[in-house]
Amino acid sequence: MNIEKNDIMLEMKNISKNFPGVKALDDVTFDLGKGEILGLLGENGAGKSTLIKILSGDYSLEEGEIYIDGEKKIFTSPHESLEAGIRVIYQELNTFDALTVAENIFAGQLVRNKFGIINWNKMVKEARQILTNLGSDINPNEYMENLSVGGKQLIEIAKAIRKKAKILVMDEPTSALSEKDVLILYSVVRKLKSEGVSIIYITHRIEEIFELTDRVVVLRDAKKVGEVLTKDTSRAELINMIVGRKLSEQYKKKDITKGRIIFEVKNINYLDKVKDVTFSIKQGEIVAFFGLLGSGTHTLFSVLFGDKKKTSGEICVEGKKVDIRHPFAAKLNKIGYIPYDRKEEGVALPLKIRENITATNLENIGKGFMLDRNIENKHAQSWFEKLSMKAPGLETIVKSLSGGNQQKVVVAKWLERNSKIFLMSEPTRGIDIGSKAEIYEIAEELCSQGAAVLIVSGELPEILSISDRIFVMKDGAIAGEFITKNTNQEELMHSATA
Amino acid sequence: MIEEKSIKDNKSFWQKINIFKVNSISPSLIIVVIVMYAVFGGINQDFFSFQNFKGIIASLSVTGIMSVGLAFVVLTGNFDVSIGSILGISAVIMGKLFNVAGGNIPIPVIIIIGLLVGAAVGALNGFLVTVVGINSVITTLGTLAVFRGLSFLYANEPSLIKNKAYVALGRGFIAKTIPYTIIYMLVIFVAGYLILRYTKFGRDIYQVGANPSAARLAGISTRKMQFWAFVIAGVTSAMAAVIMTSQAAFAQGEFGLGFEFTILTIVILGGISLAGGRGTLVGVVIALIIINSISNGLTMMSVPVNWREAFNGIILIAAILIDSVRVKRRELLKA
Amino acid sequence: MEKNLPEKKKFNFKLTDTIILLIALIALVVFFGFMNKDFFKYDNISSMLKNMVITGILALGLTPLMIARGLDISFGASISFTGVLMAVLYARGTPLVPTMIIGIIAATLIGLLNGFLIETFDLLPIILTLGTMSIFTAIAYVMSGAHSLPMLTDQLYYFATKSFLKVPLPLFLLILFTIVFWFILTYTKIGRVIYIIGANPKVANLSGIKVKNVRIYLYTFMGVVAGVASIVMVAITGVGNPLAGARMSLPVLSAVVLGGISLAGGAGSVWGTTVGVLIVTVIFNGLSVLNVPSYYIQMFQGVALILIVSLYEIRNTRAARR
Repeated sequence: MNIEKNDIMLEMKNISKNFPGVKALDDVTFDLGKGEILGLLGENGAGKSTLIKILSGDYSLEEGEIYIDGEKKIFTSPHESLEAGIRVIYQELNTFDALTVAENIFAGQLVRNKFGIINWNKMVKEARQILTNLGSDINPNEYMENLSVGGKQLIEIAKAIRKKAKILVMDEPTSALSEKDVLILYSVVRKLKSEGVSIIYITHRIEEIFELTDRVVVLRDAKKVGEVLTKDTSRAELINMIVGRKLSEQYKKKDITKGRIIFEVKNINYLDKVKDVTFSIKQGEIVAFFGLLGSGTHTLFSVLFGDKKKTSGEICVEGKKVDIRHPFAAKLNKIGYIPYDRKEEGVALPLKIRENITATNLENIGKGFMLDRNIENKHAQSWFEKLSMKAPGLETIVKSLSGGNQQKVVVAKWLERNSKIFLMSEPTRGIDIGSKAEIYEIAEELCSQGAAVLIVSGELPEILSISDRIFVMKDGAIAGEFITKNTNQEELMHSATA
Repeated sequence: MIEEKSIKDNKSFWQKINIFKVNSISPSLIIVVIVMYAVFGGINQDFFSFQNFKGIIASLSVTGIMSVGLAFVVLTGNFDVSIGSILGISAVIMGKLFNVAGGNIPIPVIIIIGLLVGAAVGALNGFLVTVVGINSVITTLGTLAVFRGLSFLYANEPSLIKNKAYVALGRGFIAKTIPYTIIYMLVIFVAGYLILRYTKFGRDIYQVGANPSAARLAGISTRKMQFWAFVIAGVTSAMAAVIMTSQAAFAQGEFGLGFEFTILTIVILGGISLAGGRGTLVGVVIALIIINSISNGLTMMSVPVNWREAFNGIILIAAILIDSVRVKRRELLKA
Repeated sequence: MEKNLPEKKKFNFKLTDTIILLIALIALVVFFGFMNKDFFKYDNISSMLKNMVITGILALGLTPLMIARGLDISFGASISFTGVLMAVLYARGTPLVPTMIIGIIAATLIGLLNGFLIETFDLLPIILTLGTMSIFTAIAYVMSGAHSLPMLTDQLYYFATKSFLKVPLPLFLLILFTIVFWFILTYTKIGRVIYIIGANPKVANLSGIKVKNVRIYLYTFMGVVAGVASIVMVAITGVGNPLAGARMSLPVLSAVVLGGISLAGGAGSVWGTTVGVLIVTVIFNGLSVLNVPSYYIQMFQGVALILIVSLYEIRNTRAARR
């Protein structure tokens, strides 16, 4: 945009990337000025992570060109990208848990003397200095595995800035930080900017864009859909660019009558990850759980489903106390689970749609030891049609389906089992907007037939548009309960970080 | 300010030696050694005799040196069950070389060829695991069969080694008390420790094992590190072959048969986690002493050799159980 | 999008693979027949088929276990131990049937021990079974005093030497096993459960399948199979030999992997295993008919295992690139 040619640090031109069956990036072009903070926005699956991984050399570049300081670069490995002065702080932590903090900070470039021998004392000292600059008193000799998620994220930041970077990419660096730590991070980012470092800042929180960035690039469905100077834009305009339709067109929740209490949880504890959680849910209700990374929302669902064994507490289904020590017991008590990691935990990718759907209910398909293929086909076919899956047929391998259709298979699995309580962990993660709406409709349909739906989601707009009630979790405990129509993003975020 | 509890060293004695909770298992292993010596010494006074200690020490070096090499491989998250057969093939080749050309090939040349053979087999293992991408246990199970077969085939009968200087390498003593071989072993252990602790190469080995994808993102070539770990294991096995042939003054196809099992036990018991990236050679040394003393103590108690092997199996299972409980505990804390 | 990495494609056993393997089998048979006329003699074929029974039964037992991502390499030790145990019991005057029952129970308990330890403590199957292998091999040595103990009975002798319609009797046992395993894996609920676990154990667990229990059953069942194999071994050789099982691991593993069962689990079928067993048997019999020394055969086993796995790995990487 308004940058002189020789002030440009990075240019990514006409970048495209294909994965089997998906276009992850489609002709994306942008540039980054020296000492500029560029905000990169987009929904999950819009292509941000892919773009970053191409820049970091983690993915190979198939189409397009990358220029750094006017020089054309081709990265075939992360090593070459590092050499070119690019540092990436990934959203997923990439730490060596078995090693110390100091070694993590200097990973790949350990402090050595002139004979090439590692100087541990100096390394620890320098690590302590870097951490002090970041306002932290973490002991550099501590083993990484003893740190909290927030602490690990801070180490990732320390790792990226230990050596002066030309380009620093931060992928949602604040997702696990407390409000206080976020402020420290902001000051670090501004300081780096003043030192001339170019920064790409990826975030979900639009307020951070206005707090930090000079310019914003928005991706949607693998394409660049907008580029504006931060001072010339508004929150509403950015949201429009991200979701691609007017806010008024966002999902509208139907009114569903509530029934009896179907699911009660009393004082559930799991180690120190879930603390004294108590709540109850009625038939027809959609209840959302919100919290930052490490707040315990996902762990809570694993415990409720019996994948992790609770340390203490009580679970009641339809008024009866139940003992859930294994997913098998949860299944018998009509609890269904849609896990966070769909491809690794939700569906068995190499198997067929039919085989995935009936996996929960083999006991009831055929007599005794025998599997009755006619019954199986009939069952699977009925869910295939009811959930309007888009696939050639029941015999299609699940791996070849889109994310939305795979998610429908997971839902079908639990419908097949006649579940009444649905635990959904980020059910719309990495799914396109059209399918998202379908998933919401399915959730409401379940509720109107007397089921109850519990959702963990990190996306506040999603939570606010589909839930009846919201529990905010922090440090494993419930930090607040809100009636959806009486609350807003700011209040929830405050409750989650305070 | 992110609040983290800094490590405080006021842990209780029990906390320091609880094998399931600490980062280093060496203190707990030392206690095992003390208890074990008390038991063996109590049962048989001769256990503490000078002669017996000399015997234990002389038997340490072959397994000890090979443990160092295997530790490198396990640290990167792989296995090598072919090390015993590498010892065999390189011993057999060196034995033959002493008997060709009128026995005139200089000792250093023979030793270097022996070590090169070890390196080559290690490189073959490394190639199959990192480039072709076969599971390391299967790969080395295959090469184990190949090279054990080859060494039997090549040396049906023992080839005698009459070179006195060479034999002295394995049988000599410093001041009539300290065997040379224990010096070799100590040198290898110290070198291994220093490499693992103070060089980029060594730390890269740890990082690759601890988290391969993070290591890649830190600019480390995971394949290269795994490859070199296999080469190191091959070379140390060949070193063990040098010691064994010089001690025995002959070479034979069955040298090193079944060693992989004992050495795997030593390495795992020494706290090198099967999950990769954890443990140090300090633990391995102590485990080495434990295993050799047990075998020695059982011999002195006249336990038949086959029972001793069964005992080895039990120790291996105990070692992986300890490792697994440690891993589980960490995961529980992480979750 | 972040999870959309090109994943390594699991090897699926398809009809085309069976055909390729069958062609290889025919080629091998023709080759060995051409090299040595004795290969086609009834005596050789019948002895080859008898030897195949033990490899075949073990490979079949390993098939569901490996599909469900388990692994057992202690079956060789289990055979030796059970064989020696039966010989000792029989020599002390225990009647044949109770002896065989005790033998099978002992082997079953070894399988149960493997499964229990592996699944309770999340151990690596290959390492744990390496441990149990050494323990039971050692016990077999101690019990037998490192000798082969004779165990000659009329019934077992009859079973091992007589044939029906020119087909050696043990072969009927293998055919029965093949049909039972094929039926279980194809038409029963437990068969489906095994494939689901193999496709993704985590998903199976979160679908309310008791993955650990199922695997413990499979390890235990592998023990039963090893017990049966041990009886066949005793019948054919007439002795309980502490060395009997030691050389079984490589051919059995090779046969199973050759049949299309990936070490990563999830894929495979009884027919693949059967063809794998046939090929392995023909190769090793063919080599010994050609008077290749046994050391060469041992080496060849190693080379074959590496080659087979390499070919699959290279193929899988190619498939993943596409």
